[in-house]
Amino acid sequence: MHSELVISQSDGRPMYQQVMDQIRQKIAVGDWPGGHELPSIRALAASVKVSVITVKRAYMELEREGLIVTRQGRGSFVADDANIGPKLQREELQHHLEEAVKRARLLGMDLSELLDLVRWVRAQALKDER
Amino acid sequence: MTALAVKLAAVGKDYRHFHLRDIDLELEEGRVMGFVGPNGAGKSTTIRILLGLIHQDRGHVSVLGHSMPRDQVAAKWDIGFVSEDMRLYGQATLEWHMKLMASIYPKWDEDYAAQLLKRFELRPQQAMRRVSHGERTKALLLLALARRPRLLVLDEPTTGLDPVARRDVLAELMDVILDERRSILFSSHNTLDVEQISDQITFIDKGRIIRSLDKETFLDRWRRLRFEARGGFSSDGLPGIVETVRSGQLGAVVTDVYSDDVVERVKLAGAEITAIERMTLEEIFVANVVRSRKEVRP
Amino acid sequence: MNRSLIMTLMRKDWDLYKRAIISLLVLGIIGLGIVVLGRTQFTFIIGGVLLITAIIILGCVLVQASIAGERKEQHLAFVMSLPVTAREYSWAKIIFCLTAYSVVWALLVAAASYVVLGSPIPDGMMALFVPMFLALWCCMALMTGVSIVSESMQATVIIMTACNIGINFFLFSIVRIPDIGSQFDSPTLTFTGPIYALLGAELLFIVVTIGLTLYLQCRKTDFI
Repeated sequence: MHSELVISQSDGRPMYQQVMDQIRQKIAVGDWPGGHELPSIRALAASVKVSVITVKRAYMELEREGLIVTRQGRGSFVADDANIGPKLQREELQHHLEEAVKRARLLGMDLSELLDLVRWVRAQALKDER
Repeated sequence: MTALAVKLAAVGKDYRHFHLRDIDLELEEGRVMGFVGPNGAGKSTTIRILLGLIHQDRGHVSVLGHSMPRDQVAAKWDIGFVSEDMRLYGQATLEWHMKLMASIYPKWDEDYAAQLLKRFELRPQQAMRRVSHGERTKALLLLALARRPRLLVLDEPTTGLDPVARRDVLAELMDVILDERRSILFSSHNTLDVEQISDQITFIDKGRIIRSLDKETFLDRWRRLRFEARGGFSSDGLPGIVETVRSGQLGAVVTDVYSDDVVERVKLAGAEITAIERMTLEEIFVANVVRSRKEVRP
Repeated sequence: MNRSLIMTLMRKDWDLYKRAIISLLVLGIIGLGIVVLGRTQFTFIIGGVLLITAIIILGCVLVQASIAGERKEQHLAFVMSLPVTAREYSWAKIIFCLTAYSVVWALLVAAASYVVLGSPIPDGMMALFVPMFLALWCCMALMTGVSIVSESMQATVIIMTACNIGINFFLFSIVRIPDIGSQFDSPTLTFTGPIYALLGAELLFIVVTIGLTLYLQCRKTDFI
């Protein structure tokens, strides 16, 4: 089940972040819905082949972000927030948009030029879908 | 406070041309320690002292609660030791060796051994003199793993293995960790392996332990700051800088206490930070060794 | 000391070297057969040489393969990873080597005794043979001890060579002892004081060698 999590050592990001990102993804797409029990830290470490300490850190950071909840002696669970999937995806979109806005400013584009570009991109995407 | 699987305190050993000094090492139960050092640093000696095969000249050694070398037999019942220079009997088969282990160890798990045979793709009927290096390492590992030891001590377990064999071995080692009472200590040149599965990392060089920290802290504290110098930038005297490399206006400093303060200080000293990079364990290790050798011979 | 583990170690050595041991035992039996069944001086010599060769080779093989070879072939780390102490390991090796050796050695003694005492050959020859047999055993004890303590294939080979040469010198020397040399033609066998002294010295040599070996082994602090 959890061998779908894959850690790459050529990925520039630290291992604990890769684990976090992939868990976030599973929550975002709904594979792990609210209330779902996460595998134990050791079980996940063994199946992903990373150190326990890395998984422990990933769980801690996710808990700090409010995405998971750890109940003493009973394990870790995805937070019960029913909206968590869409919320995560929206956060992700916001990150992308922040990046786009930053680059647009570097290029000296103003808001209307940026919006034109967005419309053009969206039109291309819809065309490709057909 | 978790129990300690291994505790070495102020251990020392003197040979004519080599001295092991002030070795302090602690491995908590349920954790994996990677032991990294150049050739001749003292890894094998430390490991053999841990197993009671070499008697320390100074200091106290405790493994799984047993004092070594005095209680080495009691400890060895629960320790699985695989070393790169270990050989099985060439004229005998793997099956013979398995039967030997089964006759000695009550905890020998026949089913698990059969599973490992399959996973490692080993043939029990083959004479051990005819197997490849990788197969031999896997055979030794099988003989150690199938008796479910509480402590696995491995001296270069993945050295000389092809990538597939390495992956198989690492996978089995990580399965050991499922039991929180079982621990692993392994020495390796392969910093990628160490970086991947270790909870704690110990650097050793020239008979001394340079650093022993948990992995995430290591990786968090070390950074390479690439800079573009403005005017009279000099990193001399800047605290927290381990190493500076420079070519004209461009260069990089390495710090082992990464924080916003350090970044600020570098900026204030007259450099524009162009990138902040995490470092691989290999780079951290080399920087540590270089620094410690400079300290000994200033 | 863990007896069951010592037995396991000896059983392991038996498994590993039984083919060699049995082959040499068979060679010895063939030699014995030739001595007993042939009744000429010629067959006596042929059979005797075969028997002595078997016992000498056995001694060398046992020591070289199971002791010196174990270190050279890097099996020692594997064996010492088992729950045994250096002392138990040494005991197991010594008992195994000397026991396996003794079996073939006993064959030799039986052969010679049969031939000398049950045939026209003067019984007095036993005054020569008995110290000789014991000397062979002394050599084995020495080779075993040196090999275990020295941990070196080189030292083992040197001591084996020295023993083979030494045994000849021993033979030539004891023939000169009047109490022995004079009995060559004697139909009766008499053990006198000097002969008992010689035998006593040899037994003492064996005990001291084995004792010293065990003592030195136990004092070692670096087993690998």
